[in-house]
Amino acid sequence: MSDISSPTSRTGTWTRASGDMPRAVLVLAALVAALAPLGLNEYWRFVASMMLIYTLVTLGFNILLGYLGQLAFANVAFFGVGAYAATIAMNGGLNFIPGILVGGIGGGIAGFLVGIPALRIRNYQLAIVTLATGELLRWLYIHGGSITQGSSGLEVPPMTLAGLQITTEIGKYWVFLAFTILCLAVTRNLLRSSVGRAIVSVRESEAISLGLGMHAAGFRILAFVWSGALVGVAGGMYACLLGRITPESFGLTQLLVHFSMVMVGGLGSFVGSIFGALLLTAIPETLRNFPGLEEIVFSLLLILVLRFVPEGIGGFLGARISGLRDRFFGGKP
Amino acid sequence: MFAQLVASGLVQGSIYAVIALGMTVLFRSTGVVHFGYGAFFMAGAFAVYVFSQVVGMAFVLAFLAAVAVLVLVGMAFERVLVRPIVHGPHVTVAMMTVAMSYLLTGVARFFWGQEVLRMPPIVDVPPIFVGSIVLTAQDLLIIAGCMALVVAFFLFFARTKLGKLMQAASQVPRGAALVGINVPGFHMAMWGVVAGIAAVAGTLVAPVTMLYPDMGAHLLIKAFAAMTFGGFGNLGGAVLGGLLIGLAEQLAGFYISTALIDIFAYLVIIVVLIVLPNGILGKKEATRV
Amino acid sequence: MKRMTAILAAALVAVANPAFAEPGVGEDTIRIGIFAPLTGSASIFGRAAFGAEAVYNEVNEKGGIHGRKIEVVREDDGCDAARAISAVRKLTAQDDVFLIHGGVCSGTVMAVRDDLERQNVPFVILGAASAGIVKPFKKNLFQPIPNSDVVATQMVDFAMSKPGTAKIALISHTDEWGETNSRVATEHLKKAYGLDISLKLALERSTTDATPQILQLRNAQPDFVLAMLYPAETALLVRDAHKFGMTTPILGNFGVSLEDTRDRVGDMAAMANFYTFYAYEPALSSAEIEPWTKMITKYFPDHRADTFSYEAMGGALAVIEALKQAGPDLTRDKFIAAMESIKDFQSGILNTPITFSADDHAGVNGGAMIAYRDGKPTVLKTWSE
Repeated sequence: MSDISSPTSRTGTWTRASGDMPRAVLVLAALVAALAPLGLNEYWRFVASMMLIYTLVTLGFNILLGYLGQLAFANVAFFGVGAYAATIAMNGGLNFIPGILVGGIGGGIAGFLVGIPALRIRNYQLAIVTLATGELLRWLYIHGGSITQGSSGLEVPPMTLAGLQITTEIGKYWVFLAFTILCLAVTRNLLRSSVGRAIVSVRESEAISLGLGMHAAGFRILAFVWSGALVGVAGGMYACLLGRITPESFGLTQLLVHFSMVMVGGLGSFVGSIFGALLLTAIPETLRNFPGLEEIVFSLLLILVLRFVPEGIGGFLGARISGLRDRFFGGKP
Repeated sequence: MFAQLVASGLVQGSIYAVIALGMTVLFRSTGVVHFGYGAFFMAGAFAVYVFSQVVGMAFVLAFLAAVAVLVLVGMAFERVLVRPIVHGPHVTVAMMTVAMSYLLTGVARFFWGQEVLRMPPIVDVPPIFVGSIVLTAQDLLIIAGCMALVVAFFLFFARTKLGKLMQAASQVPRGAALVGINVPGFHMAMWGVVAGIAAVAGTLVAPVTMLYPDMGAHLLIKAFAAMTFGGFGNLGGAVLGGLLIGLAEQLAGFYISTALIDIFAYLVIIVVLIVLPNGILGKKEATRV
Repeated sequence: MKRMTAILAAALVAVANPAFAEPGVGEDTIRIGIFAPLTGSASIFGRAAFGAEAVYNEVNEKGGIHGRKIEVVREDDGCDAARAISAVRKLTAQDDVFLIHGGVCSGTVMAVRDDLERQNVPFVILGAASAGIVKPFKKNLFQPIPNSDVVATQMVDFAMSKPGTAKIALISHTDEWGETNSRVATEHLKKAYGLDISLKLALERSTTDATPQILQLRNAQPDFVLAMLYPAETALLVRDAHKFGMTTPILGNFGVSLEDTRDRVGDMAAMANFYTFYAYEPALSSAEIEPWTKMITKYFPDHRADTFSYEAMGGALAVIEALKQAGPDLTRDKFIAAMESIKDFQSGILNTPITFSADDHAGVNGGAMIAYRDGKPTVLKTWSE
């Protein structure tokens, strides 16, 4: 953990942000995350990697839905762009570490491109245009000729580190864990900094934030870019984990999964995003023996959460454990 | 050739128009955009199928039963799931409609996911030849049924007191409540009405497209394109947008490339919203924030 | 720093999969994993899984293989590569299967192919027909069904077997599957008959109206239309062709079943000019196919058997044959060698025998067409038959 946090501590933000959180708790959490999969078989280690990927996806989506309060449904588009960008870069000879970062950059660029029209279009219209963007991209993956290889998808080269190939699930998991912790740390600091507060204030009232002399448009775009980048990194990791990406993985079913994770976790809740991702990655795997129920279970869960706990797990716990609220739910207004 | 394409385009377009109209009516009267409207359409088609093919009711009875069931589903959905959260953030309401779309689709898939369900045509007569144009009775029925719905709604909104009141209720709910309108009851009624429209459309279209759980999702995107093109929230715009998109798909498919048909709707949404956010008939108006 | 990286890398690689002697083979059991789309829009193809499982149950009932009974573990992949990967991880890591008989969608097969090769798990294809699956060659992978090259070639040969055929039109999805099929057909037509495709059209997936396409076909008046389309769109084409009075024969691809198309079109008159690729010996709904249907419904009473239900039964019989030949001391290598020794294996259900060799794992190199003749499905090798 210490070697993960040290690069950020040099920026000075880590120490400040974790000032009220005992360092030991963070180290312990990371240690548990790193060692727990040792007790699992290869299959559950694979599922554990999937949990890490969905943690980033959910957090990235939550930045737009929860923190910025925008009905932007382009999350699957960012995920797909990240996966395809990373895969194309790695097939071009890039190692997986810069490859996954290329996924993040691709996602960030996609976020920027979606963010610009989002300055003019709001609410439902934004939802519709972002939905259409996602579907249009899926069409492009299918019809992308030699670049995307159509429906049969792109093969992802194996992950190699210092000349050695990482073939085991636990090896991949540890790599993804490093990426995830890094992304979580940077995001947490960003959200707790003045930038994060500015993003939330843009959600609450654009007029007020403008009155305070804040550049609302800039923060709005920044939120889109950061959301896209996080989801893009997750897309790159997804490509590495699966070894092949196909257009079908970036369709409307994937969107339902993302929606459910964010809403179950709680809009605008950092820790809730993690809970939502872990919970909803595990559920379908345990439902394997009941094929066909996945869609029904996810949508019922989503309906129940929206109806009875619209604040999600994060908000629910946060309100009840008020003493811990400030410690754990940083960034929540 | 051109005439045939126009005829087919009008058939396709009137389906898009009715779905876009139903969503626009709901949006105008309750301020909610229903992302699950395609699933209502699908559910309507499946309900007619169940009543006529499984239960064995006569077609007219099955049709009425399906519309009644959908009206109830729509009202129940408003009362039980939407009303309690309607004052929450936009995101929550939108998600609720999305969730219900997936739920209905999932249920249909669970029961009929492996089957191909075919609805027999409502009237079984050979195609009609008008000069070089071929039209089936089903085509004519779709156009007639859709246009009847469109006209009925225009008359309702423009001519009846209730229709005018309804629009008032959506724009100034508090004012409407002050003059004695039961706003929640009103919203519930509108949810029922638009669900009924979806059932009618589903019944008309099912013999042409056949029944499958995802039939609503494909149509939803086209309806969004129609609404966007015509100006979001504009009743006439939704209808005109639907017809134009139906026509454009057919003509572009024949004269430019058949590969264009599929992505036409997406391109319309993206280009129109970025270049002309209020559509061709839209006027700038404040939406509920 | 360099040393740190090296240690880290070594640690990551070191936690390796310890290779046990023959996973999935017990004292009296052999565990076989099946994965297929059991739900979702592709689940109609997933019916192949039940045919294969019925064959395995049948052999158990007759005493098993060298005293061992076959245990089937069935997983759903929803035709999604990500879910297929997760299903296969579960089959190999948790259920510890000896071999995998799975994969109906080419995308899912491609996604799990390399991983299974690395682990040397024998992988027999259930229903995925892409010729790209066996190219490049993988030692552990067998495709006991006609692949897309065989199908596209058969479609062209069938059209050309009608005397005087000069103009062939082609309508296809624009995705990779459609393009590959179109390319093979176009190349075969050029090479074997010196002809070019006279008109090439696109029909997108989930379209509900084919008017523009039919009007263009009607104008061009070809002798045949090759339809490289999925089932729903093939039915749409057949239906709209009939609506506009087009009588040109339409030839369907492997994934399209005659019965299913009839159900979707709902009009026997429209089916008069429709032919589709057919892999089986007995015709659909004939007395000869009845025992095969009974075998499936014996174990799956709710199963409504149609074309795809029989797709993997030939492959399952080949697997059983190879398991027998591999002997009581079963290992994966012995099984693969036994599969490769299968020559001219008459399964009774496929119309073309299965043949594998040490360097060719595409097992089925022929097929036929099927069409309605006097209201009865009739298997046709050539047009004039």
